[in-house]
Amino acid sequence: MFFKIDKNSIVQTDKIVGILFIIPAAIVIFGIMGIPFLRAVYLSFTDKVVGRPEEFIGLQNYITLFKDMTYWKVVKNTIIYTTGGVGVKLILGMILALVLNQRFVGRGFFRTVLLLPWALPGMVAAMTWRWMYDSTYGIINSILLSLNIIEMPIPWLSLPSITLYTVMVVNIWRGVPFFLFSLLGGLQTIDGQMYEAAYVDGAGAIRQFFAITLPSIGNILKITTLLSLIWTFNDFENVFLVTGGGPLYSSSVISTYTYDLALIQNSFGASLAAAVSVVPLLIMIIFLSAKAKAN
Amino acid sequence: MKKFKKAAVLCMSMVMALSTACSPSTPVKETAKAEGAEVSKKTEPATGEKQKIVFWDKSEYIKEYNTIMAQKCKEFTEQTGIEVDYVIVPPNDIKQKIMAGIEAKNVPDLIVGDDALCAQFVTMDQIADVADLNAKLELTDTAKNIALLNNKEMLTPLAFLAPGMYWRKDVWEEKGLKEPITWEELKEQAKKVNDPKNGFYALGFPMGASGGGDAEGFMRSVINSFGGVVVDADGKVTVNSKETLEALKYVASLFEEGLVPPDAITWDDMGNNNAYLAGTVGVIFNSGSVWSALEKENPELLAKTQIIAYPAGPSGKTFVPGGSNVFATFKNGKNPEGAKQLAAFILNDKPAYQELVEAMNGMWQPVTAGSDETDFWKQPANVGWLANSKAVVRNFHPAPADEYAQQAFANQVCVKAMQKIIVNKMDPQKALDELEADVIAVYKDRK
Amino acid sequence: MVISKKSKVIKYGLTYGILGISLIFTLFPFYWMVKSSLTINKEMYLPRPQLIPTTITFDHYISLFKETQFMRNMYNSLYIATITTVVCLVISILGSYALTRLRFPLRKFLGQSIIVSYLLPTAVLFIPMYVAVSALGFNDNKNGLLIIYPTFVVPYCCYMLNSYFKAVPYSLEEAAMIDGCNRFMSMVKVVLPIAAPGIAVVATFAFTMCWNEYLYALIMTTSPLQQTVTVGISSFKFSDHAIWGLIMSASVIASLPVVILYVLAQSWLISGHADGGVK
Repeated sequence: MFFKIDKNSIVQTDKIVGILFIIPAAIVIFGIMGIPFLRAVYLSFTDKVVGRPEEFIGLQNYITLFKDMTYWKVVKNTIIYTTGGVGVKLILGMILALVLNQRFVGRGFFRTVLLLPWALPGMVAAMTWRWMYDSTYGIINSILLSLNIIEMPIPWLSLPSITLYTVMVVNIWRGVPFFLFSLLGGLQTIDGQMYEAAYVDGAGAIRQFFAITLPSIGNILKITTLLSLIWTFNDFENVFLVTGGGPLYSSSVISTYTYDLALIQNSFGASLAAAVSVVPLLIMIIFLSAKAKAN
Repeated sequence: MKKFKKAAVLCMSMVMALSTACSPSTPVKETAKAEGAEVSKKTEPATGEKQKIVFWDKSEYIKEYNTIMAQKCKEFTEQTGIEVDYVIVPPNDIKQKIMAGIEAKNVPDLIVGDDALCAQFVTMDQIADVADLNAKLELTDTAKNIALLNNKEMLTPLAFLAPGMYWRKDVWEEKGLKEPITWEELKEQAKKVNDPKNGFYALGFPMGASGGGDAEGFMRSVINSFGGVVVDADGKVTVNSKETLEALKYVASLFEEGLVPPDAITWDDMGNNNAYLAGTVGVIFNSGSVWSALEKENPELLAKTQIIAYPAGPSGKTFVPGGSNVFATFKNGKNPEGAKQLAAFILNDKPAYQELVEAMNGMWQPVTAGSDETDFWKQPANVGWLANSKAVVRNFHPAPADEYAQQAFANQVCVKAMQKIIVNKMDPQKALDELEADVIAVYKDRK
Repeated sequence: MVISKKSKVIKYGLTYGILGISLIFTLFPFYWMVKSSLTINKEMYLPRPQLIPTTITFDHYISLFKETQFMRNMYNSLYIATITTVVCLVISILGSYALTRLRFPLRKFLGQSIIVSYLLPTAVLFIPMYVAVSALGFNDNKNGLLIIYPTFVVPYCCYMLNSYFKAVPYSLEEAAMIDGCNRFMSMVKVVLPIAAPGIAVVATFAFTMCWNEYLYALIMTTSPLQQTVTVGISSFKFSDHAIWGLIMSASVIASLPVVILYVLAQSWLISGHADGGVK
């Protein structure tokens, strides 16, 4: 080290600069978000109904909720929706990113076009898909029928065993571009010479992928997955507009369930309890990913 | 890019610096100017204080309606000096906005909404008693009935939204069938016209728990015409009866026998409109909104459509549950008295009110006495709607009009019971037992 | 990747095969949107819809431009999304630099709590959020969104930027500082240029997030003069009847700015890759 003498003062200035730099972000997170967030958490312990003052009722909302089979069904749906959705998005995004990282004719075109679903407001995407899915006037069934693949229209939006997957497809359709482009951004920072060296050493494509590609973008991969996990977990418009969570909560996830409790059944306290009850799960995900980062 | 970013950062900081630098100086200037203004402001209360009201109206598919309403607001300002902030809000969005507004203590003074929605705001203790306003109006008896909630006049009717049974005459006639009189007959005929392989279902009955009122309204109409009573006139829960069970079995059989599009079980209130416009269903129950859409977008299908009477139950009883659009005055608004004045201004100017209602092309029907005495309501296309509007009963009939009836309806208790039978293959009697428990849970606090 | 010539043919076959399938899956809903925006009302719904419309009309676009305030909504969205993106980028670049490069008290805690704003679903959080923002005096004012949007854009930006910044070797910065750069200068001159492709991706997505947001925009704004595109589109849905022609044509128009942005970012990304040998 050349600057042993300066080290202390550098640590000192770093401390000040660091605090100065983080202040704006901290204001956004704690200043703007903090109050509504804490108030929401508080209200989950009350019998809050919109328009009336609340009364503290302790854990009552949570107890009622945990006794409700619907709640557990919704939690299970949420877990399937989140892990399944993110898993598929991750795999598809990775494959496409690798493909698009090569040089070939039309690359720029594909790169732009494959990003398009992300450009569409979620609300519009959901409405369009719902229309396409419809069992009587939807194009998907119409095509399948005219190709003689099916004999009767498939009720995508109402067969309880498939509705959850119906909405997952829409989520995947819209979410792949996020993986694709985050990963592509990561792939581009990898030095091409590393592959040359590996090639000279006789490493095949698969070994190159695991030895060079994956470690180099590991960090981006983790962050992208984490963000996507959380977004998918809280995805609302999609489920709400495609199936409304129905029939009988068969495609309902936490976010639509809380909306149903708050705005349709007007029990705001209970709704916030449902939202807060899954926060530990989310924190666990974040904690695990932070740990994975450290390793 | 780097340069660009630098420039952007620079611009931003400049804007920020400018705005902070400017802000102290602007108030100074303004106070200097304001002195003159203050004098005139102070004199105004003497002549009549400068008031303002915020009015959120429903956006309507037929634009003339909003144009006329905006014009009325202008006239109101000219006559009374009360300024009106006329805002058009899409009806699908209004509930979320109002609920957020209630919590933030920031609500409009007056809104137009459907009666079921506005009743929910009454339940939330947000709406002012409007007995004084309604007394100034010449409401018909049916209309007065709509105004009531918890034995108080909380709402001010603007117009009825009578429902009709849309019926594809051409399809039925092709099979040599006549218009159905009873529910049983409807089902028998439906089996004959049903053609799912070619994408045609006889019946477009919604059964999604979307929070819109269509599905629950349909369930209530079947249950009632079968002789079932969800909650009786004394507020007693009487849903668990042979008649209700029959009604549930009947509706379930329509779905089980494939006479209804399978997706109907997740339809929101747009579902049956869309399906009818697509020509994929033969019968729907709807207000005039499908009619006006057909007029504008598909006159050929309109020609094949006929509005017929609701089917009757086994004992010959029919039940036409109807909605209405109402004014609701927020008691915590800034100017509830001004809001009432505006509502009276709109409803009491008979020619203008007639023009307003008739602009909706039959879809709305008048609520004030004598407003239907125009040529418009004598036209064959409109006679039926007017007649239906006079027979309108509230969705939760015969239960007393209170917050419990309203909440049970909003919780879509009957739809959920039906979904259990259709989706979970639950035994109808068991679903009915659970339905009873759901209704009792809502009514448990009622004295 | 470097692979032998022999397998090159297979590779190209595979490449275009994968791309072909993804292209159909990706584009089909867009095709349906564009097609619907050009379909006459009478054929909007058909029992057995066809892939190719028999007649084409531009009426929906004409009425969109003539009879609605949609262009005003576009302007509002552009205004909100641009300002939010720029402000959030500045905040996040500073924040991420601090989190990844500097040591200061509470660093770990701050780094992890940044994600906190995603813990509760917007579907219920919007009410307390509206209460807080309207207490600041924002009422039917699009500028209120400038306060709300950073709560979900900044965490995203920070998280993504953290990883891009971490990839920049520390030694480069040390060298710059020995040359007399201070922290700020070394960030601007060393870290940002190397992380530039990443920053571009983050900026594009941040813009998209603002552009596509619906629930907060719906709650915050009431008059068309203040509303953003998503709220504008949803206003073409009436109680139980949707004007699909307007919804679809508006959606096509609304996705244009973002698509243009992607095309621009794309060309820049590729050239950024070309001289990406900085490292």
